[in-house]
Amino acid sequence: MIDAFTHLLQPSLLLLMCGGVFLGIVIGVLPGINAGTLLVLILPFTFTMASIDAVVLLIAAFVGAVSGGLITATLMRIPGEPNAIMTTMDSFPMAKAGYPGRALGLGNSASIVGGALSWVALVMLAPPLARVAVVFGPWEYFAIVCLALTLIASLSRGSLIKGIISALFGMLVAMPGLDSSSGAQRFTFGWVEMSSGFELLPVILGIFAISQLLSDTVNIDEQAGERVRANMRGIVLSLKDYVRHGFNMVRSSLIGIAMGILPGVGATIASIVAYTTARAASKEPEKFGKGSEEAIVAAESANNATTGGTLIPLLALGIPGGLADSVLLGALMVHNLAPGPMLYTHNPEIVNAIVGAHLLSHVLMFAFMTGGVMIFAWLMVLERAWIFPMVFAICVLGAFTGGARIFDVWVMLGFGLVGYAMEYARVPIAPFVVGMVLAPLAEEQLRTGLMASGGTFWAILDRPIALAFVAIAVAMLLWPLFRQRAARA
Amino acid sequence: MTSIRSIVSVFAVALALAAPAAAQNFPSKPIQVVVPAGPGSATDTVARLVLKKIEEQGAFSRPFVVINNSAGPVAATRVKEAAPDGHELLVYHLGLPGLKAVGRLPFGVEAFEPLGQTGSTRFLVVAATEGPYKDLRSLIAAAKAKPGEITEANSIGGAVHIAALSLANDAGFKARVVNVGDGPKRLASVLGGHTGYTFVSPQEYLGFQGKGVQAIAVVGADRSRLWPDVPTTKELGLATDISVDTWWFAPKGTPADIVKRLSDAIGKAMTDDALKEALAKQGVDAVHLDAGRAKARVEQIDRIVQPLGPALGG
Repeated sequence: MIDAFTHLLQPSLLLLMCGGVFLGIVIGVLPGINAGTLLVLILPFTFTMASIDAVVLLIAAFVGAVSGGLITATLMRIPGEPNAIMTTMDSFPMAKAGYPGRALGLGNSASIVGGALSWVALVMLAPPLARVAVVFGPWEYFAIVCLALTLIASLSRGSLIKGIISALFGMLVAMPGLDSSSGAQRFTFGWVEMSSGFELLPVILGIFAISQLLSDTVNIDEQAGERVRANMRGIVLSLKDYVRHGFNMVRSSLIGIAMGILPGVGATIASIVAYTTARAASKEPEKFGKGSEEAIVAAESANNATTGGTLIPLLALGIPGGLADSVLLGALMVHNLAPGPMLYTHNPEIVNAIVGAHLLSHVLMFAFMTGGVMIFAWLMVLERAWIFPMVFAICVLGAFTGGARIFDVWVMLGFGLVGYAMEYARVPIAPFVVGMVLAPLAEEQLRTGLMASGGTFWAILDRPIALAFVAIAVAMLLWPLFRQRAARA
Repeated sequence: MTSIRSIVSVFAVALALAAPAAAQNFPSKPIQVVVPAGPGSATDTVARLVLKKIEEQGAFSRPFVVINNSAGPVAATRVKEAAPDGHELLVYHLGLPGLKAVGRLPFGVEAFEPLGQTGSTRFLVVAATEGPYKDLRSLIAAAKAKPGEITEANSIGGAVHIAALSLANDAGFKARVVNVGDGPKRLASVLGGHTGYTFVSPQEYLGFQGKGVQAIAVVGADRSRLWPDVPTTKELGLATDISVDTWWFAPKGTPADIVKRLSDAIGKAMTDDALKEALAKQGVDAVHLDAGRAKARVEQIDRIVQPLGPALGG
């Protein structure tokens, strides 16, 4: 392992990693090109490289891309990557209140803690933990998603009814397009553009960024006068901060690692679960959604922790958890390296390079982000009239790039209006996003489970892990009631 | 009014004059290649490898741009509706006739001009090593004994569904089809004991071999070079001949000389040893068919697929 690090510290490899991380952050900042797409674009260049160089570059770019989304999420309310959705909920209000430096600093520090902890898991536990990925069948996934869905209750501040309306609306938006369990089209009204449904990215760009642009433009005069001077302090956290948020960081990282191990769950859902768990455990849950420090820490530790988690089944069993991992798997195959127990025995240098690059990339990412954040944060000081066109252009580009279709841009603009209307009616946005992300997964897994069981729900009784998750979900639902009663007594 | 009409007629004449010139000047802009699958998927990788080789060989003055759209109907419709000038191409496999068979598209392969076939992938039937099915014969016997009860991990409506259904029809059994998803997910499902068996590509199987799953048959006539011990379905007396062939299409009506230039460029790329080796590493047999022979293969597969429509969920 030490050999691997000294090897990685060679100037050429270090440069490659710096390049990868930098590219990743740049791509992470821009919506539309996600980590997976970036890796695909890099992939052809790695065919001619030495195997170690190739995997090191890909890992560096992957880590950079997962982290970069934080910047635009905080400063412009554009989640550059879907996994920055939950960060956006609190880092943007905090930046708007005049503390962009603090928001970015918290996010950045939480990212490296999440990354480092997931690295420990990757090194220590990869082969044994990887089995978990296979043991989890459709019922387990369904139960875990149900658990995440019950967390919506804790996300709807104020009116629970409005929260449920928002969540159901989000689920509805996820329904059109291809029914992944039968291959049939639904809610497309015979319109071919609708046959892939609403893509997640245009919708969240609309709901977050465009709706924010609308409301800012409407209020541009009244807000210009009372704007708080942007405060750059807090980009580097003090030791006291780490101690204060330490428990939250560790808990959220563990959630991230666990979610990362499960193929197909991924960073977005991990940050949702960590965020809501942090809220449930918080002494100040009312601050969530309005610029809570705990919220930013939870979401960012969790999404970076998935990077290590997702490598576990990939390296140990060859199961890719998401698009980025599939590309990595493809790259390994091209270099005649099949992941799995054999890789650990026959090519330990590759495993060590991947694992070493994972940690070093996080360190580089932290350095780049800290430097970059100082530059980016000044965007908050600029006159906002200069920022709006830029934000709008980035959003349009981002929505278009995903599928190279103008339809997605219209979807984004449409959901911009929807988001504006929701904010106007004080309907919380968080449940909408959670519903939209989780509903397809829940539906798919439930239907897979039902197909395998021949249509009976009782098959879940044979799955103790799934039952345990359902039990926790029920407990989570009842928890707020108990808390209320306890508060009254 | 007259002026508008004269302008229109001037344009019409200009267009008519420009038409042959367009073929000579082809390509006049980057060539967009629409792939009906995500980046990094098997189809995408084959398309990108071939395109990289064509660009290296310098056949065209403009670059290729790959456009990934995982929604097959959107991808196919986009190319069908595109101007038939060779600047928008489609890469597809037996999923395209499948879309028509289940009624998700009003058109099928007949709406396109085949340019060639770059590689062919044979499916492997895979079951758990510790499971009850040591070979395809025992699997078929078990499935016949309990119709509709042996679980088959599948991706409903996709290429693998067509292959699995075709085999089941030929062997005369009925499985309980469970929609699980892409290859790695199906293998993980079999490995975890959630389903009984599945069909995957060699590329997908490579990452899983020796970890608790084993290939029990190759679908088709020829044994795999990678796993010469695995018997073929033909050896077991089944006529099933379905493979995932990578086909290249231009919209119907593309001028013959442009079709020929594209088809030749693909053919030239496929003679390259480095490309053949790269394809082999992906588990793809580097079988190249020129435009004419590709058309025959496309039509042959289409004849197998169309009658399966109702069973595929159409």
